[in-house]
Amino acid sequence: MEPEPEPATIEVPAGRVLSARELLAARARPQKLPQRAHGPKDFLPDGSEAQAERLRRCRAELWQLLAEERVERLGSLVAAEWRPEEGIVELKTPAGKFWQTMGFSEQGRQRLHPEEALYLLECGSIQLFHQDLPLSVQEAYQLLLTEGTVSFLQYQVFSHLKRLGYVVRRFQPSSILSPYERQLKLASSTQCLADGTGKRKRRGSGSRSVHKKPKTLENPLQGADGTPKSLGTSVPPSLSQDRRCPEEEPQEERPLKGPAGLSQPGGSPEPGPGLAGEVGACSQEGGRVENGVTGPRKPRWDFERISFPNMAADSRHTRLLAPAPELLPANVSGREMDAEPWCQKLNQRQERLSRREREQQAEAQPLREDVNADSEVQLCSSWREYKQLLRRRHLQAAPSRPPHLWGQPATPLLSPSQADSPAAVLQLISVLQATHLAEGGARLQEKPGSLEISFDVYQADAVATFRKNNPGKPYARMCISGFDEPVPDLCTLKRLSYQSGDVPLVFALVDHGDLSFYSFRDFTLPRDLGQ
Amino acid sequence: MAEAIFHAPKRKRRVYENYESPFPIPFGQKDFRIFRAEMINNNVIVRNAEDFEQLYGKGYFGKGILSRSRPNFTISDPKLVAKWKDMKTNMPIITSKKYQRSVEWATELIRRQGKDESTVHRILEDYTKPLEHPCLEQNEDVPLHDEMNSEMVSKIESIADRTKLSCGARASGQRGGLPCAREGGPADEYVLVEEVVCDVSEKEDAPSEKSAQKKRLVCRRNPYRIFEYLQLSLEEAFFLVYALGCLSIYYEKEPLTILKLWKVFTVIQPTFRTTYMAYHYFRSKGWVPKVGLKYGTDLLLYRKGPPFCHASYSVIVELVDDHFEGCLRRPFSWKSLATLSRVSVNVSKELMLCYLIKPSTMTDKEMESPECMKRIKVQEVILSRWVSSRERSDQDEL
Repeated sequence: MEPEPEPATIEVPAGRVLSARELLAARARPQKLPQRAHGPKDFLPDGSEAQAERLRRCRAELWQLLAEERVERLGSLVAAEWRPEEGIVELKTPAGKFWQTMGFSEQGRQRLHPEEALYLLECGSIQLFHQDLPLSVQEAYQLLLTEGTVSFLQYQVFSHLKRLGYVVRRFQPSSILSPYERQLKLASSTQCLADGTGKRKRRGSGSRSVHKKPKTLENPLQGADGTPKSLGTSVPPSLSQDRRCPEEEPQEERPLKGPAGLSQPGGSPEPGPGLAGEVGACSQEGGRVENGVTGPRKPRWDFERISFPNMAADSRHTRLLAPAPELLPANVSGREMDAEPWCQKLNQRQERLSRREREQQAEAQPLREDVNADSEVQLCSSWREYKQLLRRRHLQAAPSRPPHLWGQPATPLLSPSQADSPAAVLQLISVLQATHLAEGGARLQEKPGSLEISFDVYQADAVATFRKNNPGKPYARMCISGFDEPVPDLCTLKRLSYQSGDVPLVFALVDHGDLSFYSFRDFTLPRDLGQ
Repeated sequence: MAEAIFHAPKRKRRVYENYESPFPIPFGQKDFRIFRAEMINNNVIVRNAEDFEQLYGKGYFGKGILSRSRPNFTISDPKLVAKWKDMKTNMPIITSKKYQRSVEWATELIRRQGKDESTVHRILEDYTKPLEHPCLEQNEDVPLHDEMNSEMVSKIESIADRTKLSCGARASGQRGGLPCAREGGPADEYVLVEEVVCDVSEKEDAPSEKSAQKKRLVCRRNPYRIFEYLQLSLEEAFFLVYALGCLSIYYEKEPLTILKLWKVFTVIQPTFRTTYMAYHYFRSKGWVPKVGLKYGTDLLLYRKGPPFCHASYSVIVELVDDHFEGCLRRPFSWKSLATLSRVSVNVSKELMLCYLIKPSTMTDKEMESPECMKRIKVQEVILSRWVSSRERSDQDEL
């Protein structure tokens, strides 16, 4: 064998195939990284020689590290070609291990996004060609990170997260459900359909009776009963026909924890009542989530624009017109009908109160006073007189109601007789309503040049089970912005969080190579009774 | 977007106070007492000691003008108190030098009233003579005290005036509220002065410094009494008036109505409406908001009160319109947000942005009344920093 080669003296021009001696020299390179710290941190430049020397030494080490050439086996490099007109990279030889979490298939060919290709190039897994010439890393940066593809900032975030082990994919907006869809638990049923093996309980046949219909709809709402009311949001517990009218904004934005057994009636033809226009078969064709650039073909209805007939007791439209054919699945036809006989049969079941509700009703019964039993009230002939009576009573009541507070248009929120307990006081003075980030997000328009969600991030330990066709819910979604750009205002936050659904949103900020991440999360301060 | 998880507030290790009540009103009774405050030079001040004990003790409203938070100013010297703790007395203990200074200030005041020197000295000599026991003294020298008292009362009035000046409330010509001082009934303040006992008779030669100086406590009256008041911030004052109805604010003996207060406070502090709405919201959730100046934000939220738990949230308040945009009170850059976030994390608080959403149909006229709050919605957002390298550990939250 040849004598021990000195690593420092052998210079290898880039891109060349190495000889045996050069290969051994490369292998024998010291594998240790240089020390990051050389003594305690200096906070200020003090112009001394010692400090300058330390700085010089640090920089020299870094340069040496960066200038080191990497040696790879040619056979293990996957060949890939950059297609500028399409903005993607196509693999010429079969992909390696990275294919499990990166890349996508299109028309039988394996492809990579530009940021993925650049990352793999830096890792030393692929060799990138353009017009039959291999690209260097610098050339690849210049060619692949252009305006139309991925920006440099986005690439920095992408590579940072990949190096930490996360699985980073491009943002898939169509996998988001609208709040209404979530409420109706469409996710679970699309899941069933996509897998093809989903057990659809209550697979109805045409002769399903109407009584079953309200029950299936009751389920998500009864689930709402079970959700803890600790945060003060109120969910109407009783089912009324109004609930089926989604023209009003759904009150409960968060996903309900009810039983997930709601099945879609669209699967079976319902020639019966014109309720087929409801819920509909919006998920019928969907479910096949492709990972391509074009996205899945799941049709999305904007439920806020589809008008459903109002079947409530107040304005009964029992003459139902045929629903628009584009809202129905292919093999279902709707017709016009009169729903009067059906409506008469509804709500004939006794409302079954839980034991607790019955007890509460029984307790409140003797305490409730009929306001009409008051003789003074009986003398009032109009609402205005009644209010005057109340005001008079208030003023006469106590000396602790000075006229400068109580005789004015604006009076204190709490009157002394109402202060029964801390909880009662808090209830009375709560006039400001809390709202959620999800409210109103749907109607916000996008402005050109505004922030967008770039990536879906999945955690590192999901790698083993990661399936590109069905990645599941991401751990987080990334929005990337430069450090000097303005902070997103509430409008942007709402829009982006609406797009993100129930996945946490993280803002990545790039400041000349330094990355920091911040998240804005919805919150409602809980009521504290101080005990 | 996922919701932020609520973390229970951190309790303080040593709690020196008892929790009385969330609000200074009695529960379950038909009536309650209405406290009285005054507008002095655009600040809201409560002078009556009983009133401000109630206001601070129940709900932690306000701040003592001579104290860090709770109005517990005393001229007593803590070192002396520790030294003489066997005496078991409630009276403040001060050094002789301090007492002499009080006497000098009082002398100056009486002199300015135009009395001649001998009268001045006579008055002060009598007032500051050593007393055996405060209670006994009052019974004996009643007639003498009457003469003393009238002069003392007038002195107290002028002292109160000067005190306001010296204590930073800068009262210029505000004499309207002075009768309160008399009503509040500050009686003479008795203090224990630590004085050196000179035993010249025992030694023949001049007493050297090395002789043991015996000290004893002498009870005297303090001629220059300093009063402490409670200062309420504009939001706290308005909350007590409007939400609870337990405070009346007077300006030159005239009580002010709620609408007037709403207008006047906005004139004093242009962003009052925004900050008040946030304050009201957090109070109506049972939390105690205090000023957030120390950490660069608007409010700090305490659970139960500052003595019990460390503040959990540090809040920045913004008012936006229906389209969720608005001119910000403080335009943010990521750098300032990052600094605020770091500061908050260092003091274990969570940074919260509180957006008040005003419907676009709300007219300016509607905003003239606090009833406009019924249409305002509140959106709270927690800002937190995510560290990307903590991937395999903390799975709990983002």
